[in-house]
Amino acid sequence: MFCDDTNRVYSRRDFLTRTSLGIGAVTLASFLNPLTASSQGTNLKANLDRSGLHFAPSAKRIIYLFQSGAPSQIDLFDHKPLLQKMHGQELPESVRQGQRLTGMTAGQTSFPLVGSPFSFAKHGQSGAWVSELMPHTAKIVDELCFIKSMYTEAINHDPAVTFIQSGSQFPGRPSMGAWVGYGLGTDNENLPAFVVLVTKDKFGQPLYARSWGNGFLPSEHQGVQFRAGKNPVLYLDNPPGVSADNRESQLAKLRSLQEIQFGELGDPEIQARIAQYEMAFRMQTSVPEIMNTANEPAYIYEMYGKDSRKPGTYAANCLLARRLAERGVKFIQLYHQGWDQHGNLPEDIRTQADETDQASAALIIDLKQRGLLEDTLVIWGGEFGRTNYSQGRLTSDNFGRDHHPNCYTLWMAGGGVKKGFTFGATDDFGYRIASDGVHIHDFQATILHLLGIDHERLTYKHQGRRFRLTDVHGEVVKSLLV
Amino acid sequence: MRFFDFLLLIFLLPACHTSLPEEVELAMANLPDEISYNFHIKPILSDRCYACHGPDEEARKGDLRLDLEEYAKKLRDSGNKAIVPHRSARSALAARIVSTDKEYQMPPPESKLNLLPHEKAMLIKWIDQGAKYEKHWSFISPKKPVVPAIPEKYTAINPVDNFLIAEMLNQGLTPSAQEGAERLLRRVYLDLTGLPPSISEVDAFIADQSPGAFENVVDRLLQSVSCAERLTMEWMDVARYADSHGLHADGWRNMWPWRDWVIEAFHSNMSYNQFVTEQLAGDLLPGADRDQIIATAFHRNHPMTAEGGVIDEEFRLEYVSDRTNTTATAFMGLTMECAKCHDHKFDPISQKNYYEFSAFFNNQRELGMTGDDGNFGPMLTLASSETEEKLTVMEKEIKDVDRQIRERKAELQKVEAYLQSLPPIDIDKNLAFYLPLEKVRTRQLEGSSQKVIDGNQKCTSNGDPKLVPGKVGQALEFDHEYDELYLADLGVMDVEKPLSIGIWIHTRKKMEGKTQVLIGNAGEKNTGWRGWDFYLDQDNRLNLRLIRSLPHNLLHVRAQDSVPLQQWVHVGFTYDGTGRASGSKMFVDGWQVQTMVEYDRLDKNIRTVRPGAHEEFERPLRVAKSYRAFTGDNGVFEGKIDELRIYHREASPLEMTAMAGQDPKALAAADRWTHIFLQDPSIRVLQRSRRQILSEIISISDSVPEIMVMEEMMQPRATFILDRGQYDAPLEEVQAKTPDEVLPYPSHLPSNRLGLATWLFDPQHPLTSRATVNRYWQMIFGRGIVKSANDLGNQGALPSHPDLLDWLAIEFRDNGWDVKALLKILVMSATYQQSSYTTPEQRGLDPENIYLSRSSSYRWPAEIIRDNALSASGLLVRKVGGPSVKPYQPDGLWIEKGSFSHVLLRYEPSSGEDLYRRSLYTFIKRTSPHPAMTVFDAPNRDVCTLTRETTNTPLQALVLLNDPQFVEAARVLAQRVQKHAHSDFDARAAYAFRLATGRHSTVEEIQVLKETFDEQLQSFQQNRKAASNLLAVGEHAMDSNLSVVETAAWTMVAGILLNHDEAYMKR
Repeated sequence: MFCDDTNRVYSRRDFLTRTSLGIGAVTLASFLNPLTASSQGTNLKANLDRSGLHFAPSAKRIIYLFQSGAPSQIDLFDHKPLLQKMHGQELPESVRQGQRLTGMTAGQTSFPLVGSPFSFAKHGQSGAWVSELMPHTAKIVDELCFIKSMYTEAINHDPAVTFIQSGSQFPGRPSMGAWVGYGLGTDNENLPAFVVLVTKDKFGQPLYARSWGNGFLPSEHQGVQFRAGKNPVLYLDNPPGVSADNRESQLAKLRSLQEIQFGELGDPEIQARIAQYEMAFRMQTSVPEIMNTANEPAYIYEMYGKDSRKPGTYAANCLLARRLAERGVKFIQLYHQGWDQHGNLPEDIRTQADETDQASAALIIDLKQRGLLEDTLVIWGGEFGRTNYSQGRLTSDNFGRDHHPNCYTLWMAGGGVKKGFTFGATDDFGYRIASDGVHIHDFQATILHLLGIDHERLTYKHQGRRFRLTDVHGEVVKSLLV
Repeated sequence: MRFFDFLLLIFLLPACHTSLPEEVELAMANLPDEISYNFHIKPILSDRCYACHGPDEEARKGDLRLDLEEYAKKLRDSGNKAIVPHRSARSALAARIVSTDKEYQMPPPESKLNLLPHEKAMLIKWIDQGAKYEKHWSFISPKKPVVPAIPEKYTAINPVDNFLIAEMLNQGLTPSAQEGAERLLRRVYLDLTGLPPSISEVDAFIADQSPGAFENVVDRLLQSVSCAERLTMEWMDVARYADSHGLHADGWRNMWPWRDWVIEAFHSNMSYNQFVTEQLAGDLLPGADRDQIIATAFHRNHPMTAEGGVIDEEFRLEYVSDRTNTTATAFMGLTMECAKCHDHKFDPISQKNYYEFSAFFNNQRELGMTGDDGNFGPMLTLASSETEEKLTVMEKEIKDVDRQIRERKAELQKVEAYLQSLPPIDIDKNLAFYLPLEKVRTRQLEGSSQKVIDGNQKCTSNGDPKLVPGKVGQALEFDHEYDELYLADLGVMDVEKPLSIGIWIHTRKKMEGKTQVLIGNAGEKNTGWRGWDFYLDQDNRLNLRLIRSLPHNLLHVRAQDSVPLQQWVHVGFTYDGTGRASGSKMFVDGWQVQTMVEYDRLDKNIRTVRPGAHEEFERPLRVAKSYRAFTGDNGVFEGKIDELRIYHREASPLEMTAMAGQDPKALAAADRWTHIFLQDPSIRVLQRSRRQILSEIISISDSVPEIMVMEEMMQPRATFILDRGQYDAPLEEVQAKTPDEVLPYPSHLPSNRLGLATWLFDPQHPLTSRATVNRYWQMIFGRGIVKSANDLGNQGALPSHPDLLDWLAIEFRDNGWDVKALLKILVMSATYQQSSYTTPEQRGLDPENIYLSRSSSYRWPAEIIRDNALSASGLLVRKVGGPSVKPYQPDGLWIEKGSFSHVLLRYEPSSGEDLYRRSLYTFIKRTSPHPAMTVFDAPNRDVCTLTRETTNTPLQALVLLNDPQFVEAARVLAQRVQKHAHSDFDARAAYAFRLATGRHSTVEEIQVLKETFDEQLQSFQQNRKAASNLLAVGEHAMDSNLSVVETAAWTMVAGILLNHDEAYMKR
């Protein structure tokens, strides 16, 4: 008779267990038994590793290809012949039903439907629809798991990005990658658990450090941005004139001093510091080693496309993502800006697709050929969808699409999701979800599930409340799982 | 639920006769005499039982709740009671927790929430003592506790020690020895001022053997401006201060005058109640002065959005919520946020309480969506006293001219001849622009076609307005949102320039929330909507706005009544260039109509600017559509327009009447006189000189900086409970009020922020003083007496020393809320002055150092670590206050995140002394804060933060080793030590050691430094180029008299010292 509540009860207990291993407030436990209260964990990682898992994971790491600005699902994956048929006609009020619009189009007096000007075809054995804009993705559809029925609550970029990245529309919460790092720790002592790669010199809707921030979690869980160029991690390079040898001998002496200090004070924190200096030193080697792709064979570059030779491009970052995955980085997040086609969509979306299509597909193929796809979950998608009607004037060769939170498409691959599978559907107008809606919190719950984490049990107490990525919502979408 | 009670009946009876399990009996012996509900029982119930028997109705099992006394003790359907006071043997709770029967046992074994034997014993003993429930401890007003006695052999300097030592002894701990002079001095300097002592200050302290030596230092430090800066640094986290807006574009804002106000407040040791009152409600204080209004910028520090397309009201309410949450957390350590969407799950705060509390902050005239950069109203101008004087003189001059105009008018009225004569009315005289709207011609222009109206090159359209029969000849019909007209090169309109418009309209539209702009040039959000517009609002009433910046710097009048629909109506206005709402009149069908003043505060120019760059340009007037975008209302006019007339002068009522085709003779005499006045040469001369003065005033005001502050609206805004916190789901209306559970709101207090501040400092208030002393305790000892400083509620931690907390709270309150006196008590205590060294045994007993049997050790905050490095090298510039500064940071971090903000597009490092200011002055851009600060756990100021994490990561090592700020500091420290009086290595190294760590080094340590120096010297001797490269880091000049190679080697030594434990750890 208590079965219904087992999870809820469990999560509290579980939290206490976890805190006694050293995270956050140990308030009640330590009050009840102060003599056995835990130490502020200097040995945090060892204790956390794996103990956070609540299921056997099907994915060990995530590569999240975040398409910032919100790609138009109608022009890429969600084929809507009706829109082509009704091109130019007003969006029927029976479809819109007073739906909230953004301030950008709410002032419009006319909402002409726009059929995609791009041709669609079915691909692969699974017969997934992909537009001509994504020829490479079209070739790997049998590896992909499409969700055509994503929906969100936010209608503007900042809140929507913040929502999908942190589970709340407003700043202050930890990002998804930070949660994962907090829950699972790291598989590589020489690299951060959460690495962020941003396409260089690509403008568009802003990015926010909070998207990979730690929120109220300890800052060790914040994403570390790896950059193209000389200094791949901020402050990683020795200052000019200081060679690796200079540094190594200097650090050896620093260690001697720290040991003298430890001898005097006996504070274990000093030893923890020494360990961090050592890891910093190792990172000075391991990070450039990862970033240096010179030894990748020519066929790899061909696969990822010519951009992949140019550091900082989306293609180069996809290649780096594979290298990071190989080395056990848990959460690798790419950001590619520029999908916000309010106007001039036909031309601009083509540029976006050209920049991302081949490399995204190559990443899947590459992971697969290395046997990594099995336990790496790859996610491709943005923060919301785009409208089926034109923002601004619909002309013979131009139009735009506004933000549309009701429905959009996102794909995943590997890591325990079904292959060659399409989940959910939108109505014929591409305006609403027709079946199997997947809310952002469901999506987040599912991702955590694939990593072996019960989203209701990965909590952190802050401001008198146990917070979690999915707030108080979220259902694992079981249909997506293998 | 029946099933549950049935079980209870079966199992309770045998349990009554069962004696307690042995381990519980044993635990019984070690319990305190008095079992406290709050401190002993509730933590158990809350953690193990509330999940199924707590406030959450949906999760509740067996219809039993243990959080409320009446439910826990009531007779249940089964005939049992969970708790029978004084009778554990008859209490089902007792029976079930000791039962070994898996079906009966509580908590159920599968929940894994098992109770420990001493917890079971505690519950049973509590029942036997009467099972007394209490309010949550922090909601009971503190009572001054008796200071416990301690054995004589322990030193108590003040009562803080008595409380702490008594508890240490309870825990089997003993205090540590007194800390040595050097560490103690450094500790107290860094705690109180954030800056290390100089070597001479250390030496003086070592030499001073007088009993009052330490106290003298403490007194001196508390009075220093550095101490004010240190306290400000802490308060900036609480106040979520930043130099950017935080959301979306994350553009620039100017709020540092508030930060300087805080420094000054701490420096003058303003009492804490005044400090808080001024920040919450300085504007409402009787005779509020400028500083008191600046203080209210506290509640404008929250993030704001400028994202195009957001719903204004949604975000405006979000800001109200932020103020609500911040007020509760910052001043009371109360988490009200949870009650925004539903009743609080753990604290007695209902959703209604939340919205009642939020009503205090819901009465500002403010925007939800602002522009990308800049401040937005309500604002306070910060003119220098010089400027203010100048303005006062000029305003007097204006009054003088106004008086002369009045006198001249009176004279004119007396001239009989004028009364009789009505000069000829020619509405086309002095006409700036006239558009009969008779012809539309298409012309090809660079590949696109454009319409030219009436053959007038100044009037074009890119759309397709149709010619239709009009009021006079043809008219233009607008039925599409892209049909608007542009009127270019008509001259720049400004505050001091008169303007009149007459136009025939025929409209049908009238839609909720939508306006129809007839004519204007007012821009969009990124220009602050600057310009003017004349439009029909959603009720088809005429509105005229002259806008500098919404929502606070504009002139706005509107007609009282709607214009008729579906017929030709002549509408117009006149504006006399006085900058006042009283200077405008509106006309419908030629007759002046009643107007209301919506807002009348315009003191800067309204010349149109380009978005972002804000450079002035003459934006064409638009007819039939606004320049607004992003807001959901594009001001599209639908209908017909005819006969547009624009005058760059104040047209007379007679002319307006004539324009509408009415008989001017029907006008009242006064209106006819106006026509005469306006044409009188001497009046025109006076008006010209008035305009000149006004224009000067405006141009001076234009350059005066402003700060965002709080300001009540004249008409209070209604506040509603919002269903699930949704902005568009208002439920019941509520009034401003505080939660009764905390402390009822006295009826004599006004229902505004000032009343709220008074309530906070009511002597009976259970939270304010506790939350504050706890926060300062945390600042000095590294963790609060209540560890969760931001949550003193049910889910927060319990105080480790409840009596001490109450003693301090009362001391603080009764001592006039004197923060520095409070700090003095803390740092003067023997406990504070202990050594941080401890034996492994003591450490094992209390690893978290909750009982403070040694001085607490932890990593210093980001700011202190950097300031220490700057200080050690001598680079630190001790300038107090002023705009935030930009020390070195890696290139490209701002632009890679966003390019919306024009002002904060690229991070351009400061130069000269601004590179070396204290870190609290470092510019904070919320979406991309200084990376070295973030790595050391500095928050990005999105939300009110009371406690920082103190993590330990490899990135921190990388910052201290490689960040140019630290490399330069090491390099300059290297130069400094080489100029030290002694030339031998050991003396120099010892000097460097003291500069970086504040203490003398040991022989062993100097030996390590010597080895470092030798190795590095050798390396640089082989590579002199490398040495000069290293010495080129940072802007500070290299001393050319010094050896490059040696300085490089010293730089590596200095680098070690800045990475030394004692450079960043509190010891």
